[in-house]
Amino acid sequence: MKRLLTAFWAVLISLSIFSGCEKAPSERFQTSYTDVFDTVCTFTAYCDSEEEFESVSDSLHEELLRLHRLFDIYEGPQGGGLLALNRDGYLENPDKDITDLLELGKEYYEISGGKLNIAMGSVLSLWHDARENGALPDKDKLTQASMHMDISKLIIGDDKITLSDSDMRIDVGAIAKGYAAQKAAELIRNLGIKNFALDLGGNIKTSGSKPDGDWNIGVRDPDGGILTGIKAKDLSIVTSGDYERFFELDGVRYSHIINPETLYPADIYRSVTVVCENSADGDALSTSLFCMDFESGKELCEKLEIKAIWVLPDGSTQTVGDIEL
Amino acid sequence: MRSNKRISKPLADCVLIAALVALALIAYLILNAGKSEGKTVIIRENGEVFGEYPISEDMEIEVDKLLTVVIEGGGVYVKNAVCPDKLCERRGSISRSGEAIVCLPGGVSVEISGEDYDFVL
Repeated sequence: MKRLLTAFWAVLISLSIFSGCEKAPSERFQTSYTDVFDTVCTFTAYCDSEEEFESVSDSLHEELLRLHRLFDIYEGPQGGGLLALNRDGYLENPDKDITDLLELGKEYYEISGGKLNIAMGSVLSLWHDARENGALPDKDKLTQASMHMDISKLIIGDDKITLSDSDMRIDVGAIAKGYAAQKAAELIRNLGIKNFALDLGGNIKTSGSKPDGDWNIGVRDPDGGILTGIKAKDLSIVTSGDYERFFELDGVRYSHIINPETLYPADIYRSVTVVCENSADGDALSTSLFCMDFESGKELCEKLEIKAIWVLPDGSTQTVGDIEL
Repeated sequence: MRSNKRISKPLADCVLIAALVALALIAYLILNAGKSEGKTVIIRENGEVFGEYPISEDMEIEVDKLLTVVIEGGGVYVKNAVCPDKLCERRGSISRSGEAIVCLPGGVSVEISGEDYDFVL
């Protein structure tokens, strides 16, 4: 009898060792929004209940809509955002997120050696019209517009932002999504969710892990298939490429990223992917690298200790940092 | 003393406990086997992706009158190849991720990808 009892306990103990001890894993939930930053935003998270996920994703959606309204320069409603700054040439008592984003833009102008310039809105709007109208912008108009992209004329004061060149326009398209993804991720974490991934149109921000391991992010091969999978834990992965946002004219494919030096779409690479901690940095860097020759880009990545993958027009690849293709 | 009695047949006890632990481990592994990620069959023609299919669904895919890819019972094989050497047919069935069947004359490759991506960018 005693032996039977011992056996019984042995079964119970070993069963609990192999299966029952840990807390029941939380469930995976996912939702998407299409009304923010002119792209698709997908949010995946592990939560204890559907109610918890819905409450967090509602807050996330609100925050993204708020940031979208602040940063939008084309159709935003009247308000204190960048649309007003471009229209009036100044903005009083700006929201902290506007100040922070513009400061980030200035910082990356320096870091990228001018390859990323948020003050080139006048040039970008000509390309914006070109995409809408299906005709390349006039070369003289581009040169004319390029006289008004001196970022030192964007003056950020404590309670007022001023454009001291009245023809200058701000366009934060190259950094806004990354900044928003980073801010949104911080909000989600503050709401108590530790394990999630947020994809804001090519800006992926991951936090924590899944019950069965790290997040697995596939980097697309522009010619089809997957180039590599990146195991991401608390990382940002951002891709700038010519295969998602582009337009075609007379059979030529133009990227949506305009090189501030040539004033024409950058065409050195098919795509550049950056792996780093902060999504705002990732977005700014991937755009910068997309307009930069490989040697300079490599040097910059090594200096900042970030990883990157370049895909060249002939399909060949280059990497910096510990990445296996 | 109580414990002296139990030590009288220590070997038998150990064997019993070990057997039960092993049984529990096997049960655990079987229960978890169903959680393994889904594999994908990727067919490429001249390097371009022709199509991606879950390996779990039985189906036949004809690739541009060059050959037919059969997904059956978790394995993948090629039939009706028009190439003269029919090496791809003779390759037989593949089922593990990373394995591939290549038809060089037709420029077609069939590959099993075991990766399960949360996001692709």
